[in-house]
Amino acid sequence: MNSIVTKLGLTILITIMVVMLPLGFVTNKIFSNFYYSQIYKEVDSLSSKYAKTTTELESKTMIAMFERLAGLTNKEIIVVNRDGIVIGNSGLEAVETGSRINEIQYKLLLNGASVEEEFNDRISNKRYLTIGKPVQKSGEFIGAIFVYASLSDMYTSLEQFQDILLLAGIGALLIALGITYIVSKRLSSPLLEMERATRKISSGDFETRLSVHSKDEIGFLASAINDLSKEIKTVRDNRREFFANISHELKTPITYLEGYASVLKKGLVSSTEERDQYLDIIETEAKRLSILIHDLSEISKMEEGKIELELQEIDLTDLIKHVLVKPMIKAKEKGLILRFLSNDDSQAILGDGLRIEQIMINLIENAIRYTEKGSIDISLFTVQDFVKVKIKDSGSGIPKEDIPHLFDRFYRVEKSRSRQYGGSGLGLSIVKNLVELHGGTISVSSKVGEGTVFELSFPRYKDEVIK
Amino acid sequence: MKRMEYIFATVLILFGIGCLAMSGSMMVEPSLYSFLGVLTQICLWLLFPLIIIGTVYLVKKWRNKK
Repeated sequence: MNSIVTKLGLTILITIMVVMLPLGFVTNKIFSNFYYSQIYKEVDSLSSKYAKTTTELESKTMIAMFERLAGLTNKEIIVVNRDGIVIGNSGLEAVETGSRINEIQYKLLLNGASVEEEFNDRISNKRYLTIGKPVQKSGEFIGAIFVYASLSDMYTSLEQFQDILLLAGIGALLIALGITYIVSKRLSSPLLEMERATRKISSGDFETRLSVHSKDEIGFLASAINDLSKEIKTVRDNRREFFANISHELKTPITYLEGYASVLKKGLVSSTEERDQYLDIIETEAKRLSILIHDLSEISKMEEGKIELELQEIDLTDLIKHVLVKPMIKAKEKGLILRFLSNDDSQAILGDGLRIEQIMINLIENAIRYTEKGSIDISLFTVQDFVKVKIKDSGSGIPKEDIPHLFDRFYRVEKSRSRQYGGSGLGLSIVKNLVELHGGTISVSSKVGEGTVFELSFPRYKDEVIK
Repeated sequence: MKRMEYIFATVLILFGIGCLAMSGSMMVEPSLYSFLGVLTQICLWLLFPLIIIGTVYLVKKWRNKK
């Protein structure tokens, strides 16, 4: 009963029956009314003609003529005199000659009205439709003529018709059942397939994929399940990778700290310089650990949506000029040229000043870190409703295959030299999250040996944005 | 759908058509000729909506491809 085939099948079946049963009833009613009205018209017409053309009723010739007419028209005729007594009967067994007709009918006829009724002949067990008309001579009531038409043939035909109708109904129902069965099976089979697939996915088989055949809602659902499976797989892989990376990233500085602290504790140093060197290493590693934990906390907050931005109008030209003060020293130390190019247009965006500074510092310091000679050019410009920042360096560049993973957590292009360059491996991931929180985008293009370009794009500030 | 399910559905439809043909030829003199005549006409009536739906489907598919 819980199967969708049963539910769908029953629904369609009930719908068909709801339509067919009243339709069958109405068809039957139309036919019976049609037959009845045909008989009624015929009897009414005959009785009217007889009543109009008759001038005398009591003569034997006239009664004999009516009996012959009854034989010819296949109807029964009864002739009644002015007192309501039956004086002629063409063969109706239940009405005896000499008997009196119903008093109500008699009065009606006397007043010039016609009478009609469905008459049941108990002896022959036949049903008749009868219409009686008064016969008048010079305005005086001289009797009446009743014409009886048998309804038995009509009822027999109708019964036969009902049987045929029932058989046709059963036939139509069987066809509907067959088609419903195929349709409901075909509709439910992809749903059942999806149910099996989602169960597989929930049990951890994220490689499960559904074949999408149609472009309707079922096709979209299958496609969504496939996307969900892919997404869950990515999340699981990322989580595994994240735990592996984090344990590695935490383990390395802690090993250094433990090792050098132990050496110092045991007094295994030969000189003050050596001791200071070890203390420097401990300090550096402690800072690295602190940065790592800070970055982890930042990224966790961002992913949980717990970071609240203090949005205000920011002129990016001023902000970048202010930010460049610190990296300028580092660039000079490495012999790099740090240039900033901006036109005079307003380059305002709606953002959190501190966070935008964090983004810029991160990208500029990254550029300095991975550039050994040449220059770093920062340009600021507007394209339609977007303010764009380009940070271009002349560093070693990033291989093509590494670019899609650049914003992944703990992803490093040169894994073997990560300690030399420093950083937590979370910087670009944080940058991307922050840019997206500001409604912006970040893209990267690079060529090995030529350098890398990071391009940031933020929606341009308009007064109405915050109104 | 399994083969048995298709057979089951086809048998139901065939029985249905049979019932309709029988009811359609009941009022006339019972003969195989009249039964088959009505049966053919019922099949044509059944095909009529299928042809319309099929044509609409093919036209839609052709337009989508285009």
